[in-house]
Amino acid sequence: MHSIKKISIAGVFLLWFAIGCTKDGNNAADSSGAGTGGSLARFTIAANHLYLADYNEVHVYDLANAADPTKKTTVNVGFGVETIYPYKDKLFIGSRDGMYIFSIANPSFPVKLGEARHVRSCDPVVANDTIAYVTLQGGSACGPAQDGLYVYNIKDITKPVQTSLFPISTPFGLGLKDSVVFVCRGSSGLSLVNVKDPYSPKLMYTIADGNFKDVIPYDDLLICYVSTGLLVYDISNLDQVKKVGEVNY
Amino acid sequence: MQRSENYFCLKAMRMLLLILPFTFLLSSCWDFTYNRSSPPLEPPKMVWGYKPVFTVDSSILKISATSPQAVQNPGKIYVKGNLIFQNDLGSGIHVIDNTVPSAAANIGFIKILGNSEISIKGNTLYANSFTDLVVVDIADWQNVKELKRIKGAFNQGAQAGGYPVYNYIPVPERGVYYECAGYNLTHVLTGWVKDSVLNNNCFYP
Repeated sequence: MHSIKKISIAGVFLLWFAIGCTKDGNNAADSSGAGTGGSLARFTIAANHLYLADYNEVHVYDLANAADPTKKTTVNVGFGVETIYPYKDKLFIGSRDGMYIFSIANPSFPVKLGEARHVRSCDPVVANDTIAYVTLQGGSACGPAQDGLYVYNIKDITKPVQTSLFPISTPFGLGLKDSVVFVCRGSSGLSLVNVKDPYSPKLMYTIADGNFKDVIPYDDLLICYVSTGLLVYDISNLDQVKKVGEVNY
Repeated sequence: MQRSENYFCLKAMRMLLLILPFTFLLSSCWDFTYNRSSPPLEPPKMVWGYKPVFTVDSSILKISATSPQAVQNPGKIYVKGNLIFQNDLGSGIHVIDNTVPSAAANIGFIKILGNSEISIKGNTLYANSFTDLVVVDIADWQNVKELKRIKGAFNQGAQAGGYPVYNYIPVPERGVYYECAGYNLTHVLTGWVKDSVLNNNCFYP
């Protein structure tokens, strides 16, 4: 009897270790075995459903049968949907006229919880439990917004409140690790912004290794989409990230 | 009599002063510009640009795995386990082995015409081929299998002109005009060819 108990306890520990070691599940609602996309993605998988961002709609497919997605519904969102970012049981949708937050507590039928409208721009979103970060880029193709990192308090998810605007030129995609936001800035490089105090973001430093478009923080690695392809950084020490890989095609 | 002449003069001036402001109101109704000479409209000119190349052979849409390909137009990224996937705008997805980040290597390519988006669950890839949603079995990514193609799964953007179908395969150069008329859903866009086009066509900034 004792040995069975011991084995089962050991088994539980092993299982715990195994779960702790898997790389999946670092941010998105991907306990379903989905991977992780960047902040510019228009496709995302959460809660065993596939969400496709169209022009001002999001199409929802159930993946219960992986080989044969079943269309569930189409949800109307704001004008010019550009990006979709899953976090826990929510979807953060960046569109040309604002950030929209949908609940996917019922994954087949997303329900709008809140929104923060802004002037026209291009705007990917990342978020955690209490704060959403949006980069807005003005310019001809996007709209008249002021370039910058916009920070929203989303403690009351139905009423996002802008806490700060950190001016930063030509922002593209962004990523979040702990209290640091990585902001891709095209040919100006990659800026690390400390957001420990969401009311007063501070620029840490900028890396000028390439033309940065988007990033995926993945445990201790930062996968970067640059105009020439891919760069990989070790971000275990945020005060001094270092380039560890570069894909030469 | 002197007095009455003055009196009428004053009265007329008062009338004028009263009417004057209203003439400005009326002025908004008049078109002052009709006889202003405007620059003559330049007739559209032929310039070097790009014309789309179509095929009616839909077998070109077949999804397959190939050897590593040179990067053309790097696109969005996706991470799953030790693999990184990077879209190449319009042509497919590069597969990168990131087991040892310092030796990250391009190990293969999944050919999907008109691709820009990637998402993966388990061994199944959900991607787009133009405005179609394609479902691909990548359990053996060197021998991928198309499981399903849902036609026009998100073609609202293309219809609204927000994300024209044309954008799924980028024009090879920036700052050029390209022919944007004549897209036909029964034809498949395969690429672009340099040709003379009118400079009142679409422009790729």
